[in-house]
Amino acid sequence: MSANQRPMFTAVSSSVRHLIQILKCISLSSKAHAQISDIGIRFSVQDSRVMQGFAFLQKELFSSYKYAQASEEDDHPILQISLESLLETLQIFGLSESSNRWSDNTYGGVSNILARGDPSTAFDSRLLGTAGVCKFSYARIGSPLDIILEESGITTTCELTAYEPDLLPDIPFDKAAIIQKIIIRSDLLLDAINELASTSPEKITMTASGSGRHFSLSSDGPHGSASVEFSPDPQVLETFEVVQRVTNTYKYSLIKATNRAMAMASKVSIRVDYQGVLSLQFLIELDTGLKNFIDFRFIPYLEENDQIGEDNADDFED
Amino acid sequence: MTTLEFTLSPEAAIRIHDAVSCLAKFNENVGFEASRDKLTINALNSSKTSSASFTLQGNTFFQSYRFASGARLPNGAEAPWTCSILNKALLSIFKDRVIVSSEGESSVERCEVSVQERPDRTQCRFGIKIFCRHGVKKIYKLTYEPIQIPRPLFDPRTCRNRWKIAAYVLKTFSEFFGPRAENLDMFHDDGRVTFTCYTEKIVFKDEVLKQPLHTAITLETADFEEFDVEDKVHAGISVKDFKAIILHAETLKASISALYSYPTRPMQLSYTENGMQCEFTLQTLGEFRGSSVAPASNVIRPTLSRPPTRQSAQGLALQEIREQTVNSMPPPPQPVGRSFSQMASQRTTRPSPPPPKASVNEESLFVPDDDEEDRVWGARNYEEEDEGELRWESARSTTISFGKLQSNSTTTRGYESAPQSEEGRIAPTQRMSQIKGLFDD
Repeated sequence: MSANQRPMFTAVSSSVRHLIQILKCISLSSKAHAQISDIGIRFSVQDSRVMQGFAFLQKELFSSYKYAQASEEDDHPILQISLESLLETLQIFGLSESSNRWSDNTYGGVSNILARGDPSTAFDSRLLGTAGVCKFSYARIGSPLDIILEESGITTTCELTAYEPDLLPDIPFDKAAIIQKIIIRSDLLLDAINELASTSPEKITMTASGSGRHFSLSSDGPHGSASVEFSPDPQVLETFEVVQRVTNTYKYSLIKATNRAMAMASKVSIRVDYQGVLSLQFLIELDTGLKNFIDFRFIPYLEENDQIGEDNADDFED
Repeated sequence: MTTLEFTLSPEAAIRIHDAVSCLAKFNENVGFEASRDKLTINALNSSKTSSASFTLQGNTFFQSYRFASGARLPNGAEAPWTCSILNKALLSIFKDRVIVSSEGESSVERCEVSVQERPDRTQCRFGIKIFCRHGVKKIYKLTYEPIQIPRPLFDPRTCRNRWKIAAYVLKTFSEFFGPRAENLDMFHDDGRVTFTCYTEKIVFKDEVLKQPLHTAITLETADFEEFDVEDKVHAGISVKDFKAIILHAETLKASISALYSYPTRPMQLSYTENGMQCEFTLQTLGEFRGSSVAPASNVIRPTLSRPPTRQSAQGLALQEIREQTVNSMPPPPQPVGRSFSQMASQRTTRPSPPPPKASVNEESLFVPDDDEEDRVWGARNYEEEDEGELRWESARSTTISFGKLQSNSTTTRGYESAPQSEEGRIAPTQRMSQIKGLFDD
């Protein structure tokens, strides 16, 4: 059978750096689910079942991408793998790209290169990060995910065990019932989130109201409270679609955990559906011109807790 | 209702940050005292031996400044408003601005602070609004605690020694001080000033708790902008305080002025820049010499390698307690924590310090309670001062004065073992740093 000879999925990438950058943004937990489809690989992670992160490695990120579905009826395979191990594996390249971890970058690196008899490498592929080639291969359901890394004649083969998926449903986010959609520059959000850290808060309250294009984030801590208000200026709030007043409270540490994505992204879309589920969608512009999206979803605190946030929000406005 | 409102320019916000981070080295809280035309932020260290204060002039430091007090003093004047805020909270608010400004642009456009204290409001907050670029507004509401702010008493008229030197000169040489050194001694002799930074050896049983360390740096008096110091006068202060001060003065590129009289009396370091008057009052260590101005020859150490700071650091507290005594206040209560002194003296095996000079002109040690004089020195102009306020450290063991010790029949083992002078006086206790050493080690 041809399925036995040819693996179900193979993909080759020559820019592992991008894969690492994207996957690091969602390294919230040690295990991740990866779903392979004909348009790319979707990774999902979750934390305490109130936060989920999704990263999508679209097939354009790979120089070659082959996926043969076993049969039309079957779902796309989902495998649970260790995200930590995957990142570590991919970084085997990362390390050798920037010389060597075990030798000093500035001095030892030279001898390292010389030892390999390749004196011209000081300015080439290694620094450009295009030296190695990485090949993913997944033979069939139940087999491990093979990653073969090749770099200047050295080949590393890693077999990552694929576990049975813990099929948890995604946090429901109703795109048809969005009551708040705000797009701002991601660094502004990052600055605001970091600013609130000064109160060592446990919760963060997000308030938006259509009248006056008001959008603010606030938090309370033992030393007092802090709040960051964004200007209604369209250059700051690029998109602002809020019908009514929306106030929701989320766990601060979870929002803060997205800071790597926040720092990398250029824009963020902050959406809330009628249940208060928050979706942060980060637009990452890779230097190859490709655009990548990283999504996070958060479940809000219940209404009772919201009441506290509401009071504070009123307080800030006076 | 008390209202305090002021606006800071980005540069002033950075200077507030510098001041607050300097105060962080003295105490975990920052005291605020607002009056009609100025705001003072200060900190007193936990052993009450050093006090730092920054007086910000309402019309020069701030873009706008308004203060209306809700309370009146008995004489009809407006009562200053005081409060205390956790330093950490302030630092985290003023934190990043410095980093941003070092890149050549400040993201802060304006900073507004307002406090409205109304007795009928259950929630009063110290409100800080920071307006940043892109129209982002950051609002902080900090909790504060109304407190009485103690102030050190310092009478410049009793100080015959003064010098002034650019902060960067001090900064340059302070870099040579050992990281573990505790005390700094200044000594002037024959046109040269020696700054000795040292740690004394402390041995407990067979164990060496602290290794001795000395670093001496000599400057010519010509390096000073002003220099008028009597020969052979020592002044000893804590290196930690000294470093904190010069680090801050250096950021302002200021010249530090020092005023002091003789050991055990407070020393004041001050500088003024851009509407910010910075004053540090530090208790000096050293020989207890009574009112003598020219030090008696027998008190002078033969070499500088052993700085004459054997006496206990009395702390600023001592001075104030004494003042109470002079003003016919009851004598300070029995020191509660005497066991500290006792323990510390037991573990100190070095020879007992020479006894203090016999007669002490007590009167000369006290700063006259002269409001007028206070006004001249600006920062510590607390009209509402009353004796009761000075009670804050009456329970401290270190507040015990020598006079008190003398009349106090209680003896401890430590005191018994100390050789007594011909007058039967009890030898001095140990230095403050040693007492602290019990816990630091």
